[in-house]
Amino acid sequence: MPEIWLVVAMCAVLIAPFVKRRNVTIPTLLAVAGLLAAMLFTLLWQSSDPSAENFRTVFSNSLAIDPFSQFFKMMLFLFAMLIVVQWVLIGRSQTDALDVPDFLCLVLGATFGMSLMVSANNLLTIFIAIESASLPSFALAGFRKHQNRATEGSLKYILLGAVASSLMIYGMSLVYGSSGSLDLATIAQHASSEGISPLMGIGLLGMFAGFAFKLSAVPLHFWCPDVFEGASFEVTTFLSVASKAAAMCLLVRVLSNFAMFSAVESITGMAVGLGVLGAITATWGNLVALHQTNIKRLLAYSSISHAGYMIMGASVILLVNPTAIVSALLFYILVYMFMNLGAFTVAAVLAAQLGSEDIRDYAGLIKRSPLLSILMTLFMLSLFGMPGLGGFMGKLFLGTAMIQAGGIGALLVAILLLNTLFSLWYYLRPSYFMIFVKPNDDDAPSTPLARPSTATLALLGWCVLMLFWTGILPNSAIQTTREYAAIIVKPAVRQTLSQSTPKAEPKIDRKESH
Amino acid sequence: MVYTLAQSIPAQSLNQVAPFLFFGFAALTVVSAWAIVLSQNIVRMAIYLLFTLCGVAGLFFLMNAEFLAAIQLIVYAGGTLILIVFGVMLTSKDPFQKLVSPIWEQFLGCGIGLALLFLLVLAMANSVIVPHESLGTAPEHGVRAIGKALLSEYIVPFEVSAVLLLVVMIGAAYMARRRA
Amino acid sequence: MSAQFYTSVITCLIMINVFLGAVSYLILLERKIASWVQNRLGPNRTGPMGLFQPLADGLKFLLKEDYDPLGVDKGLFRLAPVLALVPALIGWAILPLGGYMTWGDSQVLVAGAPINIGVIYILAVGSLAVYGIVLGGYASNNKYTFLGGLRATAQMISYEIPLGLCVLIIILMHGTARADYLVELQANGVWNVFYQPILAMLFFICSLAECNRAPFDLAECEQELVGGFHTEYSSMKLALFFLGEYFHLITSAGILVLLFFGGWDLPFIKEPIIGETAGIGWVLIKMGAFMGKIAVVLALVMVIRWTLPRLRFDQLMKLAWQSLIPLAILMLLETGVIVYLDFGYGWLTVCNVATAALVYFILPYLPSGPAINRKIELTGSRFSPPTEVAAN
Repeated sequence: MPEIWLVVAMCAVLIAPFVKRRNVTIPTLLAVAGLLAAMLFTLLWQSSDPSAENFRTVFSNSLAIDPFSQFFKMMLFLFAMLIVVQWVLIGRSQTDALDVPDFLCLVLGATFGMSLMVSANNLLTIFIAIESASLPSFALAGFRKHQNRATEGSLKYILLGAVASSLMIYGMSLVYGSSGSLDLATIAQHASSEGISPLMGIGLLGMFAGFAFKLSAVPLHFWCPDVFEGASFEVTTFLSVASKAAAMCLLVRVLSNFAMFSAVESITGMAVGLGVLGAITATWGNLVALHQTNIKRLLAYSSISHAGYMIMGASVILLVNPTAIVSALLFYILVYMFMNLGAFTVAAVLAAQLGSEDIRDYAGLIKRSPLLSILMTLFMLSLFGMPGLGGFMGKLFLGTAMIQAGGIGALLVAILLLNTLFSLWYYLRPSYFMIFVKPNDDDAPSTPLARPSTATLALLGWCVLMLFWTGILPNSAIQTTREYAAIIVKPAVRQTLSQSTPKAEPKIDRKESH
Repeated sequence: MVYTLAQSIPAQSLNQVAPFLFFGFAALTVVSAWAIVLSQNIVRMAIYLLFTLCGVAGLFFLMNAEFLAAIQLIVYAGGTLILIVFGVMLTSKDPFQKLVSPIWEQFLGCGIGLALLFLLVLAMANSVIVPHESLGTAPEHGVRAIGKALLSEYIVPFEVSAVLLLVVMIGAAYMARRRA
Repeated sequence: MSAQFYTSVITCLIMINVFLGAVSYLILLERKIASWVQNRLGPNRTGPMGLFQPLADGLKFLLKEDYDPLGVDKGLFRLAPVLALVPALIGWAILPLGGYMTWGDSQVLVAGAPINIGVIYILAVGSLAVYGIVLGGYASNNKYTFLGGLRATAQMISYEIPLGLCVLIIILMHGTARADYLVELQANGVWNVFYQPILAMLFFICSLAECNRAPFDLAECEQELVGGFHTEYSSMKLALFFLGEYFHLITSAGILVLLFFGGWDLPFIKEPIIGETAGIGWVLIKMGAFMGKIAVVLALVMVIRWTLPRLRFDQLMKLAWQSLIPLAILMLLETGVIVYLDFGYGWLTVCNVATAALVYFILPYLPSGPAINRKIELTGSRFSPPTEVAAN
């Protein structure tokens, strides 16, 4: 269990101030060490076993350990580490030394929940994993508690999250009631043998509503821009990638279970529904993004539309052989992680120097800081899907995997293409302002911006490198994701309560006294 | 006298009481839930919520899930709701503040609620609900069985919720902490 | 099942009335004890030795005008005394007052409700007791009552935690939560108070706090809050609050007796077995034993009221969160280890003594927080004018 190391690191981070008060380095190092240990144990747990052992469920089927989850966990821990690095580089100076352990602890806690989300294999674990990913996120979203926007975003997040959670747990209770099991595979089996009863259908609907909240799919996406605008850049980056990707993986696991057992006809409806949800999400996200002037809100809507693409992809799992689509999704998440990290980091550096998150204030930046302008343009083009960059390959693989699903798939691919075209407009807006627009008032400063620190540049450089690598030479990456795109589906062995017979109540011998 | 009285009443009389108790508790739950929605004073809402929770606990008692009922009372009525009452009392501006929602919101809420109810009733009418063996009567030693299950089959959710509570406590403490 | 049902109904009917009567005389007892402690006579005019005083008091309560002050939230104002009384009234239902009895051909337990979860039920019901007070304080629309209610609530939910831990430890020791099994196990062995003396003390302290009794009666401390949460109440509504308070006290004492002092068990006097179980006579004797023990505990509570000064609020919270809860958790750990290793329970006594010694000798050397009554700088006042040093 690599997650244990996160818990250990959390405790260590909390205890650190008692050893040395107001020290920032020790908790940070402890957090990074915990994440490293978690990565190491994920690796160890996997490579030391022969391949058959890579598929297993532990703790009476409540957690699944398979290549898919291992791969995502590696990505997640790496990403969390990068977030800590980004925070050290940019956000730490704005955080009070006393609050540092709290921040790191919350990040670790959210990572813990997300890594459980990928492994969760029954309804109970799913719910508790989602909650332990969400609740720290609420706190992180409001971490800058003296700013009204942060508080507003956090409050919206909490309220919507509570509604989504209650919908989800109500749905889960209906599913449990109508299938008699908490286990995903058993539920899927039940659904294929008995058919999906209306009650179970409503239950599944509620459950997917909960997932949709985490994915910020369209009817439940309102929190996303407000939270992103209010929160600091690290938190925004973290939430925009990790939380959505984890929810995506959870969705993929649930759908794979259904795909494994059910006949195609009975679940086409589910696939179509999800496809429609994804299409609406992508389209809506893109349309609204057209009007945004705040870079964070713009990226928020961009992340909504990317979630939409991924949901469209995931819906196809139910119809075709899942390996291709799952590997495409893993690849997409990998690329998306670096694109978003890069874009947000550049925006954070700019915000720190310009004191503004408004795109219109980027006017004339090409003269003041050509490097940052070019980097921003690169990341934006990758988010759009420019050939040669990772984003393009991600969409390409997703599209080729989707098109196998016949008519529905072709329709989804068409929507994907259309949306991509739409998105070009707003992805190029920051670059347009940077390059072509002159600052309209004359007293605008024209001094060159300070060069970002070497470490920041290294981080950005790595992101760019990854994008080029996945964009130009995607073969090795897609090969890896294909190897890891295997998901275990195993019904639980039924453990009835009677099997674990309770020890008899203590015998009461009436006293034989006289 | 009492002895003969007890002998004369058939043993099933207790089972005849149960439906009445069920309807009593169910009515308590539903009526208070309505009252929560219709009430305009937020402390009163909390109190109606208390009655709802007590009604649910009573329903659990009737289903032989005594432990669950007790936990329902301890956790929700005794713990969570008290915090709600606290928060409400300490944050409200006027003593007996009224919350009035605009008429269109009331209609909208009613509409959505009725639609959901209709959907659920429709689904329930069209579903065949098969009682599962594990969902039958509660086992004889409920507390013991629950403990065993929590520490064997459901150990992961159990432990994860412990971690979750820790993290949430830290988050809440951070939010509540005054600026140093 | 059926016989048990009728036994329960009859027990409830009788015992409610017995307790109601007892409450009125408890008030008299309290006044008498107060007067003895203060070396005066106490009520002695109404009837022989003042024995009719409770009747006069009750009559006075009934005849006073039932009055709702202006500006209160009427519904909640009237509901609050009820909410204060009901949890206290139903709490004692699981007390196995009279032990087992043979009824027809089945064995029954003379108790209000012999349910499986037993003492957990007490915690459940006890957690509802807060509402009466907090609502009474809120609905009165008065700052003092409100503060009293809030104080009481904070106090009660804080002390519920060590209380629950105490109950948990006892359940852990005996592997059952059923009240009658607990008593029977103690009757056949040793009373729990000998195994867990510290725990008994903890439980006693927490019950005092739960009942808002002195020295924890901050909810109604006169010099700060006028009369506390019931300032605005009069007549029978006020009486209901008092009734609830005393019922709560009786229940708490009963649970203390049940958990630690062997319930109905009389030391050295064992019930002769005639056939399978004893007849109604022994039931009455056992009830007497149970009630007698409760009465002793109550008398102790009343003497404490006139002995110890009231705590300050921060001391109260400190006591719960920094002393009682860690101690209870430590005890839980010790008991868990001993039960897991299957040592004899004699070791529990050893553990208790060791813990007491540890707390007594080690605690003074532990680092403590900042001093309570330290001087707080009033920057800008004439006592500490703003300086450059203060502004760093």
